[in-house]
Amino acid sequence: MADVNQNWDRWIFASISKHFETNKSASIHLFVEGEPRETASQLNWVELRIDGPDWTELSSGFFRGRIEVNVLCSATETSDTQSIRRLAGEIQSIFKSGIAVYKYGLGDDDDKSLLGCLTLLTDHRGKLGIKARYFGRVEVNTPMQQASVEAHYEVEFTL
Amino acid sequence: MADAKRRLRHIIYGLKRKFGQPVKIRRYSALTLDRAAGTAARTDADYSIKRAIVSPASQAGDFVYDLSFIAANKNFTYGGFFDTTQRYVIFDVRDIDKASDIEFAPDRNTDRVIINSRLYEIVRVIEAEIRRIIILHVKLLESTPEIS
Repeated sequence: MADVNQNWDRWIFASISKHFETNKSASIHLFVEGEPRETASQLNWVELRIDGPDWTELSSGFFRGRIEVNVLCSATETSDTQSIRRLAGEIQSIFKSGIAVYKYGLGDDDDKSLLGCLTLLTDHRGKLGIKARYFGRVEVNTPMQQASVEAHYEVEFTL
Repeated sequence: MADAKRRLRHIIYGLKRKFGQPVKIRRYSALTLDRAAGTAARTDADYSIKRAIVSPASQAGDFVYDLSFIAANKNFTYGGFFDTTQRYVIFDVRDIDKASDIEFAPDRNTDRVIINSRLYEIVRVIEAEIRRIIILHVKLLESTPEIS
């Protein structure tokens, strides 16, 4: 097996983070896992978490990666009883069928050029696609509704 | 009630004289993020407290046992646990160096406490009966270096 490019993971992470940052509305507060997290002054916020990539070398130097993107939505309970649905609904709309991967960063290899495209995985059986899950009020004494939206993406790179 | 509050204030004053030491509260003030580059520049503001009551480390035990626990764990050595990385910090908001912050309310998520050049996270904020007294249950962030 050939070696996976050490920058692919970081470029994918940066590109997905940037995609969510630029496509969300200004009223939504976004945190990406690993960033300082300040929620005390926010009513609603979302947290982005990216798992993977899982790499498979299909042929010499040709890799397919599978990435899981998960967004946890938190909405403080107010008179708007549908706020969590509004929040999760907007997040669902940001899960586009394709997300461009750019060589973001400050290193020598990071020239911000287009590397490839993440493709949303869907099927007709309903096992894949954009999935929203609602947890309601997780803690009895914390008036907050929570939900998650997740989807899987695939990408193919050649060394 | 007024008498009880006066007594409490008196006790706090006494503790301040006995256990009082300078403490800082490090408050997150701004964050500049560049998600493409992967950089997060955090700006903090330090609030000095001239005399805060800092409990000895062993006073903030992390474990309370009761009869059901003892019954279920016969081999348990009586005496309870204590965690040397946890403390209680009690302070009067009037002792904070910035007078404008008299309504100071610590934020458990982002504020940090500096005691003896070590950084502590806030586990719990306890509101005292006297509103201007704040009690913090803090835990040492062991992986962080000493702050000069």
